[in-house]
Amino acid sequence: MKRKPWAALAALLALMLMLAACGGQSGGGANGGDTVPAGEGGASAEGGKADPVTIRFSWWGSGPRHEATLAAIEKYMELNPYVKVEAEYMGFDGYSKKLATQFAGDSAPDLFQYVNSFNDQLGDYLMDLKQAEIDTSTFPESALRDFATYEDKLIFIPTGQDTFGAIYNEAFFEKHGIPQDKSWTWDSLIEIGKKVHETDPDDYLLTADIDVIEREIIIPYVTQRTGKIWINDDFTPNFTEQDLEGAYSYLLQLYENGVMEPFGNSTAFVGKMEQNPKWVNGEIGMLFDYAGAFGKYEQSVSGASISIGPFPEHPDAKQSANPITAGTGFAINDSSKVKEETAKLLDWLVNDPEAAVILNTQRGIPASGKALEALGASGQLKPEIKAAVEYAGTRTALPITVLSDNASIRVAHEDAIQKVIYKKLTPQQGAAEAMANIKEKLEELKAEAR
Amino acid sequence: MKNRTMRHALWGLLFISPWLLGFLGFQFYPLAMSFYYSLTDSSLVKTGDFIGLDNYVKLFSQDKDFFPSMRVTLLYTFVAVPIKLAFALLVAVLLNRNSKVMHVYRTVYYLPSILGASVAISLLWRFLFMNEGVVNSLLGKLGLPGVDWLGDPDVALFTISLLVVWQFGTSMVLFLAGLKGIPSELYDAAKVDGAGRFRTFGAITLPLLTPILFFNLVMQLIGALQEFTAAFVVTNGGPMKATYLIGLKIYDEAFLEMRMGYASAVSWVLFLFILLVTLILFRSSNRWVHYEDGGRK
Amino acid sequence: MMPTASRRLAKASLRHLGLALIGLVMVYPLIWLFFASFKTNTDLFGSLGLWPERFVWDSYAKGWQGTGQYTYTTFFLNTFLLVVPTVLFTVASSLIVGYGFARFSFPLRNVLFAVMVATLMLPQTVILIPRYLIFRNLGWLDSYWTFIVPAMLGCFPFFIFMMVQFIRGLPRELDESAVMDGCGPAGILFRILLPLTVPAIVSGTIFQFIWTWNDFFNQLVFISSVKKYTISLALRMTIDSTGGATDWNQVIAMGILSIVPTVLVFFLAQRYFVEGIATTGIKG
Repeated sequence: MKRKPWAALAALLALMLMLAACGGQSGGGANGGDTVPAGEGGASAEGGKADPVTIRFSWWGSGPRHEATLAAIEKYMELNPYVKVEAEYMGFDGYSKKLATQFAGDSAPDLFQYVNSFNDQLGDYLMDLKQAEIDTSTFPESALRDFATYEDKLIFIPTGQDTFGAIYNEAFFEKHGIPQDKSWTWDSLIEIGKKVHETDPDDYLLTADIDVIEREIIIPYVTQRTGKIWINDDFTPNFTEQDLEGAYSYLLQLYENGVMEPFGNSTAFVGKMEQNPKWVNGEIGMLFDYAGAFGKYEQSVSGASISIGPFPEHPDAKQSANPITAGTGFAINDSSKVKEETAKLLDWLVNDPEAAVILNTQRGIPASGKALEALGASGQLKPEIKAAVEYAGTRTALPITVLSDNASIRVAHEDAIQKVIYKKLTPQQGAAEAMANIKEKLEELKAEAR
Repeated sequence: MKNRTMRHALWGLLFISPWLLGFLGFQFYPLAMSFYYSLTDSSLVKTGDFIGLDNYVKLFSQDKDFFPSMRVTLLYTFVAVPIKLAFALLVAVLLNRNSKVMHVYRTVYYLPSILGASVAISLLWRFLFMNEGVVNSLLGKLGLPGVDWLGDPDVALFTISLLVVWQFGTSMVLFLAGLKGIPSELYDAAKVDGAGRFRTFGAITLPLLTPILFFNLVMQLIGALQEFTAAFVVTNGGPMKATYLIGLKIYDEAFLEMRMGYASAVSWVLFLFILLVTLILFRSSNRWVHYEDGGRK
Repeated sequence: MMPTASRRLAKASLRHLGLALIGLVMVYPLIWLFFASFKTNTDLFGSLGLWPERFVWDSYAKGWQGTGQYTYTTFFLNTFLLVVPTVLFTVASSLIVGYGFARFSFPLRNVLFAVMVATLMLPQTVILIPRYLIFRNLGWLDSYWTFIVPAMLGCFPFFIFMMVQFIRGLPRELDESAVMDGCGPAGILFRILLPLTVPAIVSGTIFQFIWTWNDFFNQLVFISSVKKYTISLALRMTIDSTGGATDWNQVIAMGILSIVPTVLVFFLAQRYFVEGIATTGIKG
C-alpha cells in the first residue's frame, strides 16, 4: 500500500519525460522546414536539376494576394516539377516580428516579401542579388538604386511601384462643386475646405491620422519648399526650425478652418482611414495615401465612385516630394541553402509575363517593365493606380530615403506634432521640441550604425 | 523521526519535480539570457557587445519616456485592478446560486473575457467609443454632451481601463470557485445567530475567500503592470502618449526600435518593481489572508 | 407592509432585472458582432445600427473556405490538437506541483516558490527569442510540442500558484485522518484533495482552454506551416493593414465560429461550481 503511490508517481513522471523526449524526435522529423532550412535542396545546388528542391517562401497580405501568389507558385511548380515551394503566408500583424525572430534563430525562409524599412534590422542577412541570375535590366535603374540598395548590395527586387495620391470621393466633389481635375495647392485646400465645411458642417474636405499628417502633410509641405530630401544620409536633418514652424502653423489652419476632421476623431482610425464612418458615408471628400491602397478605400464606400487625383504642391515647389517609390519586394535569405533555385523563382515571379498576369497588381503596379507590359496587354491594370503613378512620374521628385522614413524618427516627430495639435505647445515651441527630438534620435541611430 | 522528515521532504521534491525540470529546461535560460541582453547593445536579430550598466544608466538619466510611462502604468493599475476585482467579487456573490438561469448569466458575464484580444476587439471598441460611436450617441439621446473617449489624452486611459474591467471574467470565475469551498453550515450557523447579510459576508464569506482574493490581487497586479494588449490594440499608446504603458514601451523598444538589449533593461527594471510590490503583498498577507491549513511552516 | 412571499418575489425580480441589465451591457457588443458578420464593409463601418441594411449570407460559407489552400476544417482540427493536450497536461502538472508546494516542507521551498511566481513577472517580449532558440535546438519549431511539453512540465506558474491557494484553503486535518486510514502522500492527493479541488481544476481548465485557444503571438512565432495554422493564426491571415482590402464580414464570421467551442467549454464546465463535491462535514 505504501509503495504503490510512489511507484505510480514515478511512472507518471517517467511517462512525461518520455513523451517530452519523443516529442522532440517526432517534432523534429515532421519539421524539415524550420530546423534544416530546405536541407534536401543542398544536393541540387551541387548539380543535377532532377534532384528535388524545397524553397520556403513567406509573405504577408490579404485574401486576394494570397490567392494570386499561391496560383503563381502552383504554376511555377508545374513548370519546374523538381521544385517544391512551401508557402508561409500571413496577415501583416506580426510579420516583421516573426521574420526577425526567425533570423535570430537562423531559420528564416529562403524567399520572402521585404520592405526596406527592415533594412536596419535585416539588411546584413540578405543575399546580394547582383550576384544572382536575375534579369534586372527590366527595372528602372532609380528604383533599384534608391530603394533596393543597402551598403552597395542589391538586397531585394522591387515588386511594385507606388506613389502618394489624393484619393477622393467623386460625389462629394460634385456636391461641393469641386472640379475633379483640380491640381491642389496647400493654400487651395484651405480655401476650398473652408467653404465645404461652411456649406455643410457635417462635411470635411480632409481627414488624416497622425502618421498621414507627418508623412503626407508636414514633410512634403517642408521639402517641396526646401527642395531637399528630409534627412541627410550623414544623420543630420535637412530642414530648419522655421521650416517646421511654418508647416505646423499651416496644420493648425487646417483644423481652425474646418478643412480637416478634428484630430480626436481620427485617432480611432490610425492606419485604417477606410473604416472611418465619415469617409464611408461620404462626409469626407479626400484623403492622402499610397495609390496602391486604393482598393480598400474603393471597397469601403459602396455606390460612390472613388478616384485618385494629383497630390498637393506649392505653386513654387522645388520638387513634388512625391516620388515613385519601390520600397517593397522579394529578398533572399543569405544563409539559404538553395539560393540559386530561389533566385530562379524570384526572377520568374517578377519578370515572367505569365506570372505578371497571375500576380496582377496584388503588390502594386509591377516595377519590372516586362511584367508591366504583359499586365497592360491583359487589360487587368487598375486605371486609377496607373494614372497616379504616371502622373507622379511627370514631376521632379527626390527619393524618400530609408532614413527619412525611419520609424523611430517618425515617432519622435509625431510626439511634437501632437503637442502642437493639442495646443500644449505653440508651433514655434513645437518646432524646437521636434528638432531636438529628431536630432537626439539621429545621434542614437548614428551611434548604432557605427 | 529524522527519517520521516527526510521522506516528507523527498515526497515534496518529487511532486514539484515536473516544475523544476520545466524551469531548468525552458525558463531559466530565457530569463538569464534576457538579463545578459540587458547588459549588451543587442539588436533584435543579433547579440551585441557587453556594455555594462549603460542601458540602465540611460534609462534613468536620459530616457524621456520612462518615468511618464511608469506613471501612466501605475495610474492604470490603480484604476483598473480595484474596480475589476470589486466588480468581479460582487457579480460572483450575486451569481453564486444553483439554478439554470444562473448558468446562463455566468456564461453571459464571462463572454467578454472569452473574446480575449481577438481581432474583433479593436473593431468593437472603436465602434463603441469613437466620437460618433454608440456610447456618445446614447449620451446624446439622454441630452448629455459627447466625450472624446479615444482622442482626449485625459480620458483615453480610462477608456482602456473600461475594456479591461469589462473582461473581468477570470477573477469572477476564481471567486465563484472559492465561494464553493465555503461550507454551508457556517452560513446556517450565522443565520441561527441572526446575522444579517452584510454581517455574514464580512464575518464568513470574505475571510474564507481571502486566499483567492490574494491570488487574484497578485495576478491582476502582475498583469496590469505589464499590460500591453489593450493599449496596443485600441490606441497604440496615443494620443500624446496618454496610454503609453510601460509594456507598450518595451514592445516598441524591442520590435520597432529593435533594441533588444535596451528593451531587456527596461523589462528587468519593471521586473524588480513588480517583484517589490509582490513581496510587500506577500509580507502583508500574514495579517489578512486566512488559510485553513493553519499557516505555513 | 407587503406579505413576505410577494416581497421576496419583488426582490428576486429586482435582482434579475439588475443582472439582466448588466448582462445586456456585457453581451450587446457581441450581439452587434454577430449581426456584423452579415454586413457589407460599408454597412459595418458606416452605421451604428444593429440590423444589417442588407444581409450578406455567404460570409460564413466563404470565410470557411479560407484562401483556398486550407479550409477552417483544418484550422479547427489543428487548434484542438494543440489546445486539448496543452490544457490536460497543464491542469495535471499544476495540481501535482501545487500539492507539493502547498503541503510539504523541503529545503528552499519558499525560495523555489518565489522563483516560480517571479517567472511571471518578466515581460514575454524579451524572453521570446531565447525561448525560440531552445525550441529550435530541440527541433520542435513548427510543431505543437512547443506548447504541450511546457504544459507537462508546469511552465504555467499561474495555475500552480492557483492550485496552491486552493489547496491551502483545505484543512490539514483531512490529510492527517487519511494517513490514519493508511493513505500515502499520493493517495491523499488523488483520493482526498482531488475531489475537493474540482472547482479549481474546472477554473484552470476553462482559463487554459480559452487562453491557449486565443493566444496569437506564441503561435505566430512557433508555427510556420499554413497547414498547421490554428484558428488564432487563421483569423488574422487575411488582414493586411498595409493596404489590402479585407472582407470583414468573413473575418468576423469566422471569429464568431471560433468562440463557439470556448463558450461551450465554459457553459459545460461552470456547472461544477454548483454541483461540485459538497465539503459539508469537513470544515467548521
